[in-house]
Amino acid sequence: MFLNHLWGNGGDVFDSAMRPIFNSPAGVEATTTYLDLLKKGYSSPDAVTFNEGEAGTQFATGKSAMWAGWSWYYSNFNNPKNIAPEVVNNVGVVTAPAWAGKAPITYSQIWPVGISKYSKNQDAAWEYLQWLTNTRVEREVVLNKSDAKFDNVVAVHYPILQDPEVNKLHQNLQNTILNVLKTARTEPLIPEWPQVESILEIAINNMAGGKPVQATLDQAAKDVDGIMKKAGYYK
Amino acid sequence: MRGKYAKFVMLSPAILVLLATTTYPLIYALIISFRNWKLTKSPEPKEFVGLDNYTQAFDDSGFTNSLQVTFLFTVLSVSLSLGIGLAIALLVQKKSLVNTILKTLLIFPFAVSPTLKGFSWRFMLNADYGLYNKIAKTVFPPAKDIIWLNDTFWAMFGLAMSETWGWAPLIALMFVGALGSISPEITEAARLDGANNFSLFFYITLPLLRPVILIALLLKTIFSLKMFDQVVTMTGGGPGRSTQTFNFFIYQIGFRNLDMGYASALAIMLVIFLSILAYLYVKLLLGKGASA
Repeated sequence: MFLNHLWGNGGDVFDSAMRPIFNSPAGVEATTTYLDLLKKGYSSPDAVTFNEGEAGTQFATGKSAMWAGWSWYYSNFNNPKNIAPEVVNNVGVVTAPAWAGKAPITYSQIWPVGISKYSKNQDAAWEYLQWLTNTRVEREVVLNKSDAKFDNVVAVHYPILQDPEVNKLHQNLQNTILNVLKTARTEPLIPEWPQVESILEIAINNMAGGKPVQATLDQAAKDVDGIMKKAGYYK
Repeated sequence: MRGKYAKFVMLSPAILVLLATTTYPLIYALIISFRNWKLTKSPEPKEFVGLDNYTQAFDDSGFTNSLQVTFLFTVLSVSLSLGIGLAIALLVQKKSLVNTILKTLLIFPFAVSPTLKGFSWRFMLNADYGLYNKIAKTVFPPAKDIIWLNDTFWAMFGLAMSETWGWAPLIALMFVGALGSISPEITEAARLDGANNFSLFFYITLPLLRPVILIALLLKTIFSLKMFDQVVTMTGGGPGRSTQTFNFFIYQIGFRNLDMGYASALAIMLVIFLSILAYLYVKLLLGKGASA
């Protein structure tokens, strides 16, 4: 959510030289607006301690009206076993919110599949991969609602994401995924990202607990700057 | 002669297992701590860097933070465990059916896995539906807005309590044993001399318990210094970095930042420190046994 706010407002984590710029005016504005969700009472106060699962649980038990997150959670929210009755089959999907007049830039992750170069069964692995990514198989899996435990709503091929029958079954979820993917971005794909992410997480947690936004972001930028210098991106 | 070597033969399987599972990884970690090895850059350890991984720690604010957190946590959990343990022991020391049952129950909390303790306490401290949360806010209404795990003090206190919950009963059992070994003649003699309960406790009981207190103190300190499981499942090191213990910090460096060289150096530092404490513990324990 932080990255959505940051990117959507024209800010970014790094500039083209890999210097941290998330403490720019755009970054500060984005962070303040993001934290306002908490400070203005749109989220419950204990959301500061939530991890992904707990946030999902709050939505699933009917305590929250909205939940921002991964598309595949749709299956979870429609499984009658663990979901409050007023939530099951009552879940709709929209593109993530954006800044007024700007496109939403959401944060995406992908799960790659590959064949290990050390594998002794590369032909068999290739055959398996062809089956796994087969469009016909994917369509069958997405349309199969026989057991809520194995429900899957994620498709990775454009024809399936645009398929009218698939969308009809999921309230236009796949079309929404497709639209969002057009402007989605991934996190910076650098080896130092886990360290940078850790600094950002701690900073956001501190700000959510009341620390001043500009000062905290400035200190975080200083720490990230130290990491990037040490990693040799610039002197 | 055969008898003399037979015991080494008998012990060898156990020694081999020990060597394979602890000594070998330890030596390997020591070797890696002197080399540059970032998993994000290469699948194998790279060049020799001397003490760089060790000196890096002293420039790292995360390192100093984790030392402070660990020190605070250790002081808190050791004092709570020993204090509450002693109180429990004093309450159940008299011989009665109820006390026998209670003494049997005392071992159970320690048997609960630390990871599970972390999860349970996280649920119970949930500001919305948690059990301890409801109790605290009913008994103390001014606390109604506190989000326990997002408060620097309460998160640390909750962490310490989750550990104390498991250890205090065990320490109580240790004290019960020790209290039982205090000869009733001593207490009788003290009472004849006019001692009340207060002076009996402070001038007779406590001094006689000193060896056990020291052993329990050292043992609990060693375990507190390597606190990890509950940090992962209960607080995640938060809020901010206020519950990032040293062992958790090592875990983040090694398995999140994937810097194996640095993490190994930090781990070796912890091993050295804990070894000193463990040596003192064994010396104290064996010394006590020898004089008894």
